[in-house]
Amino acid sequence: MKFIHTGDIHWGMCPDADKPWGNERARAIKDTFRRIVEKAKELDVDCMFISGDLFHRQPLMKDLKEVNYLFSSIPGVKVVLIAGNHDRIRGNSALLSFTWSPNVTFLMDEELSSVYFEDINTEVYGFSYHTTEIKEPRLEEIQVPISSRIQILMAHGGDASHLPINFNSLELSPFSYIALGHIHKPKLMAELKMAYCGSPEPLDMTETGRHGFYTGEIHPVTKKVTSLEFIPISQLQYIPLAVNISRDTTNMELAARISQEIRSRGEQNIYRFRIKGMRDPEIDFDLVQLASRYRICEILDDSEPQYDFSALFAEHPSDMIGFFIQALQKDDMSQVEKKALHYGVNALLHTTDERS
Amino acid sequence: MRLLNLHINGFGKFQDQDISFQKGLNVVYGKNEAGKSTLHTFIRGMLFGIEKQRGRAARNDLYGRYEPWAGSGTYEGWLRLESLGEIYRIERRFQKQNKELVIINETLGKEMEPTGALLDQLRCGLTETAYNNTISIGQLKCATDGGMVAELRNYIANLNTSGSIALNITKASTYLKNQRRELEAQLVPQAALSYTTLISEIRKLEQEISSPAYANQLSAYRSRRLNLKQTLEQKQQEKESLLQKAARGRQVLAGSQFTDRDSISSYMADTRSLYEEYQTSLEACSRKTQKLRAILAVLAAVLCLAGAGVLIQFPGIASGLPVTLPLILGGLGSLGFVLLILGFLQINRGRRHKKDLDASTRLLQEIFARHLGDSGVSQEAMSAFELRMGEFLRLCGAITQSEETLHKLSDEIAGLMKLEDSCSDEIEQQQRVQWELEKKLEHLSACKNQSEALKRTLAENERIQEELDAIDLAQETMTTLSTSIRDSFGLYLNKTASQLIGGITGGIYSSMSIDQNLNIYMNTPSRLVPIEQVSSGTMDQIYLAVRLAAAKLVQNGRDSMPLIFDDSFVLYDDDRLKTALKWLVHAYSSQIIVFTCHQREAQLLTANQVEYHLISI
Repeated sequence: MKFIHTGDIHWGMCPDADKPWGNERARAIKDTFRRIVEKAKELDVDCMFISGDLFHRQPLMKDLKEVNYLFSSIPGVKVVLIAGNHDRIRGNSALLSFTWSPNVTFLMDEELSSVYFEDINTEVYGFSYHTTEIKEPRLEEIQVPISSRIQILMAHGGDASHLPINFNSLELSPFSYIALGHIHKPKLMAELKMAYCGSPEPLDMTETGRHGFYTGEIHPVTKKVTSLEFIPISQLQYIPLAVNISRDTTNMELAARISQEIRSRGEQNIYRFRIKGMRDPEIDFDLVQLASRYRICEILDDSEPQYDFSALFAEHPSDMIGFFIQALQKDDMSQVEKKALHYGVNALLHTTDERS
Repeated sequence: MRLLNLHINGFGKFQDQDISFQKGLNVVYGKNEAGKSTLHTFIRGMLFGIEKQRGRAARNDLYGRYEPWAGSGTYEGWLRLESLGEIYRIERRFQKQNKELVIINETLGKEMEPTGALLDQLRCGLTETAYNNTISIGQLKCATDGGMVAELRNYIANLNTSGSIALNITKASTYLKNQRRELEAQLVPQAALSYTTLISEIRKLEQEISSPAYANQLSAYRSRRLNLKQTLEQKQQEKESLLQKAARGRQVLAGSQFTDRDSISSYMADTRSLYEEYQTSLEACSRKTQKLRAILAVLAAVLCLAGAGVLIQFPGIASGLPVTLPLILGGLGSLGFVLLILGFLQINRGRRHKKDLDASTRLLQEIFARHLGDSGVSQEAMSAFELRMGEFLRLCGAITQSEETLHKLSDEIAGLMKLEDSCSDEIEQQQRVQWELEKKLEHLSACKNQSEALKRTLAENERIQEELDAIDLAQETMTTLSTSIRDSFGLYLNKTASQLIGGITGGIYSSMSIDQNLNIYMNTPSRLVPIEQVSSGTMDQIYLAVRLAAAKLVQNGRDSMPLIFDDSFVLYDDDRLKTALKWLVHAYSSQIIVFTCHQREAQLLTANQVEYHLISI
């Protein structure tokens, strides 16, 4: 029995909405899902499990139609869905009156329910979110009859307020494979027995690394997963980079270094830079121009002007600079205090005549 | 700290010059251009170093000004001093390419690392600026009285604001303000407001869409409609069959020319009475006596008439009789006549009966023929007929019943149809509601996207706000510091200078006070004199008092620097000079070095038997 395991598509989300590439990202999410469906055909799988959060919000009729069209294009693949916390089923959901393509099974019940496919001797269990949160570890209580069928469990959650999961006890359960969703980073667990598929496209700048889906095969007799492969499919990645600077680093140099990093890693990717180190107090890094040239979602300037405060204090023991340093400097300074010290000393130094 | 002696090896006009100082008051006498200022600068240079300025500033800097005239190639010297009981020798080479600073602790006999702390100790904690502004005392540079007031006031103001003239926090403050303004321009001020608006909008929308009015009941309604449709169809079929049945019954009835139950009953009653009639007629007809009676009557009548005729013919027959012939004749005739009439009557009646019977028979035959297919009139036929009619009656009943059922069914169907209609309406309504909901959801989604984007802006705002906070903190710290320094300094200055002024002026002015607006008042025992009204000599005295007060203030307390006066007493008259010098020696326990181009200081001191050390250059 061959299958594809995906989820957390967040269809309809617009990541980085305030950035020029926001719309492109929204399109990429739909496009990548389409490619997964195409892959299902290409890989000739029997099942496709979508472990919740297919939609970013409550789906509209048009979204359902779009997705259903994609599903109808793979009539030979049995698609099984559950609803996650983002697309939880509400009383007013269009899902309730929607007619899916015959190959689609949406396990909409709040309680554990299952669907059995006789031809592949597979029974898929799962339940859907009807509330924003599930705080009870409901997977602990589930009971499934021992049978000769291949048993699959689909579940969405894993954090404290979304279905807390005890992975150790889940590992001992009779399921052949547990298709988990909710965590956006792909993660393999319990020797192929369970996995978080991760979101096929990274959805914000914290979701770094590769994104894609899992495809695997379960032996019909031993009912064990014989192979499970991660297939990266995202159109781009979010890449966080730290740039270390020194007192000698100039604006141009920094821009050149960042450009080079971006070019070597691919210009289509979205970057996040953190500038660290001690900079020349006279230099202010201005990277706006860089941000307009590449996809940079954030540049955090954590660099500090390299003042030697003890030297400064020794030089100005009994004047405003000295008093100022004395007043603000202490061992555990908050960010604001640190900055205040820099600003103040900078201003005082800039307005001090050399000799009077 | 006390200066012991110094050796100049190339500094300005001096080459290989040794000068030594004593404890207490030293008067360095030299004519103009003798090199008093050079000596003065050398001491400062030894303590603080002389840096060569870069670029333009180098043209007229100290380094350039005091480069040795003699071009001996050396630009250096040493200074011995005593600090905290130990003797140090500071050796300095000023040459820019070949700078050197060596400090030797002669008491311990070893070279010391010229650390900041050591230098600090030697300088009694003074910075170069503080040194310039306090213990190294010149005269007020301005020649005019107004200018002197302004200069003095300026000096006090600067002292007051920061404790050191070198740091002007108004400038730093402006600098920070500009930075703040630039940062502030990067804020998106309406972001927070739009965000709150969006959030409340989102909350409102969420509340709206979660109302039960938007619950999706489409499938429920659809299945209900389907059920209704099926029931309806079933009922329709039922109705159809009933209708057919009723129509058939009607047809049968109509075929027998019946319309309803009453018509059948009346028909039956008619037939029954007809049959009775028939029976009576039949009975009447079948009675022989009547016919016989008629025949007999006719016969009797004939006989009577015949007897009467015979008698007429043969009157004789009757002679034997007691009655007369005519009587007999008459009797017989009338009897015969009556009998004849009777007989005819009887015959007539019989005929009528016959006719009746015929008629009823015919009718009955017709009826029976129609309903039984057999025209025979008999009791059996009649019973059969009644049975038949009973059937009709039942049929009639059945029809009525079906018609009633039909009626009910029609009502039911109408009701169902209405329900179906309302169901369809409901579904339509639901679809409209769903459509409305979708619009709202779309709007909600747009709002959420917007709010997510705004969150970023808010975060950016927050970041900028942090910078602003930092600037504010810097600004605030500076202001607080300057206020507290000014407060303590101003107060102290006021107090100390006040104490000093009495001594300097020999009691002419008992004290002075400086108000917040830097107006300086001199107190005489009788009145308050604004500084504008005092003489320039007094002003110099005040200057001295303030400087001395400041000098006391800025030194670190453990040790005190020598006071250095550079032609400070030019404007003093002899009396004043005497008072000032006497007071000075008394008031300042440390070393005092007075540079002067007049001999009167020395003369006055000698005359007043004040101990001093004279150095002539």
